[in-house]
Amino acid sequence: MKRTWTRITIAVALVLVVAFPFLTNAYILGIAQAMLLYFIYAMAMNLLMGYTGIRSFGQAGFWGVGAYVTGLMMNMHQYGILSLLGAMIIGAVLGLAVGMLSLRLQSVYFFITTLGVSEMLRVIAINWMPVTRGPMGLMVQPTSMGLFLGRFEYQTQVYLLSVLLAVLCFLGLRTLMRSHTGKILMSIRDSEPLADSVGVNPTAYKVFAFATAGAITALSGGLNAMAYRIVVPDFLSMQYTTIGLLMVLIGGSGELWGPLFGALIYVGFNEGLRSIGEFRLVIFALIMILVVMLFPKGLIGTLKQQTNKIKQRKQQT
Amino acid sequence: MDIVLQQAANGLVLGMSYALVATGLTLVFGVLRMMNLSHGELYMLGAYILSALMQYLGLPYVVGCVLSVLLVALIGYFFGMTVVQPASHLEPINAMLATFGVSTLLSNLVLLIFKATPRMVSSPFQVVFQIGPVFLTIQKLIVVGMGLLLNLGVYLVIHHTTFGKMIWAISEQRTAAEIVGIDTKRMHNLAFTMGAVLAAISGVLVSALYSLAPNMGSGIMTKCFAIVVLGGLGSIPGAIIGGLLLGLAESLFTIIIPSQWTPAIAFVLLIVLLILKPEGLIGKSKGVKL
Repeated sequence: MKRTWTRITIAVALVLVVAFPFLTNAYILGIAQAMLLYFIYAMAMNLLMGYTGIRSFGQAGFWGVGAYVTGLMMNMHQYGILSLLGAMIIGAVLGLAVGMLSLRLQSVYFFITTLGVSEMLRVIAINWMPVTRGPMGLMVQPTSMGLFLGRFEYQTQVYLLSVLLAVLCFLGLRTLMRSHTGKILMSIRDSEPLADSVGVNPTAYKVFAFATAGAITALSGGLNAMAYRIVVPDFLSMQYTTIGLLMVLIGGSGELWGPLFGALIYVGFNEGLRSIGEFRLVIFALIMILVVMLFPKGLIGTLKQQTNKIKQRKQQT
Repeated sequence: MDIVLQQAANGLVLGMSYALVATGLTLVFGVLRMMNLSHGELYMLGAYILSALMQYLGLPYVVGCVLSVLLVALIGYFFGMTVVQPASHLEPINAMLATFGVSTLLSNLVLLIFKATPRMVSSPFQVVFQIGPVFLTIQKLIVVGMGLLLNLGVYLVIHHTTFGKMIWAISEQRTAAEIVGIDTKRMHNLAFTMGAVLAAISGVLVSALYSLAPNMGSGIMTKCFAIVVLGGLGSIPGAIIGGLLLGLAESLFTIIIPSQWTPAIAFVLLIVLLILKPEGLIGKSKGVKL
């Protein structure tokens, strides 16, 4: 009975999300768009950090590369969906290369190596003027997304494609984590030596997770380039990596629904604080410090903890 | 040949400023086992507070330097007590994001107060002199001299005093250190403040050489993370050697490659090294968890 209700709620929510562009104005749609693409980004980060226990400090590198690849392909008049595919392939290849070179390192060295890779890519983005147009930023020309979406306005097309991709990523991630491979990833997170001792090759699985997350992160970055139609080298900066980490922590690391709440809360706060003006980032920083210190398990983790406590109390009485 | 010597001298100066920041970073890393992402901002604050003291209060450079370092020490102590020390009990990634929050807070406050226009600090020690073909300023010599002195001082304090031994004890086994009566909270705060002071000193010294911008902290910090890894986590000699190496490499490479590419050198070096020698340049790798 409970399951049916959950399913009905999800179905209704999904219909509302799809109908959203026809009910609201461009500003609100822009916010919903940001939530969707950050949701995809947070799912990738959750696959790494929450499920596989890989701490990467360079996901902005994938995000930014995805944005540049998508932008450049769209400027060559490719369909939007093909441009995103291009971004995903480059993201996966980059993830494979970086992962194979550095995932055998101790976690803290890996952490800083990934930061190094993303910083290096940022320097390239700043200086490779003929391609990236450097700090001025790359303007992205709107093209049709392809598929059946051609008949809608551009912004609506990007939005609907984002909904589709977010749902696909969510279902894909859920299937993956329920599969044998998913169980192995979680066993690596819980104890790598133990996984190793029962015949699992942790590095191979970690490289797989890293490349998958790389592709999904690049996809999210690509959607960002599409939606806001500008790509700047700053997309590759540490700040965007920390946004990803923050969203996972807010929602709850290793929780299936965590990234959704992480993205909703992050984008919500970010937009909501815009009215404060200049002090926005100062207030944002204060909230960030409080959240990661007071709710280390994130929203879903904290809720689970509370319900468990209530259950225990009921059992005692 | 002259240009090589000149660039080597400049590289030494740049490297010493890296070394000072990296020593503070590695100290916090080795002792608190924590990635402190606010470290670069403390360096930036040192330079900005100095420039404000000189501009608005008309203080002379040296007095401004001392006051600025003291103020940053206070700020560091405050954040150490309120954020860093409590966060050290959390998951490392939470603790790291908390320090990133501090960094965002400080850099945006500075941006609000001073705006984004680059600032300059003039020091009375900008006297140019010549040794053979190399031109130097007194200020540059001060950077190198202070860098050597301070790094040596920190090394001696960490390795040859009771305070240093307590700090090592905490980094090895926090609970055991508490059992034998070490006040771990106080030691943490002291170590963190020490890191802040080192960053601030580097900031005030360097402010007379390069122009100031609110984002100068994050730039030097990412490089210093590379240095800290190059030198081995928690190793002070490693931080000094790594800092000097990077400074030299950056300066010398500007002879053959355009200077806007130099920020990549630190990371190229880091990646090459980690592939060849995954445990760092110097010292054994400690089981730092992240």
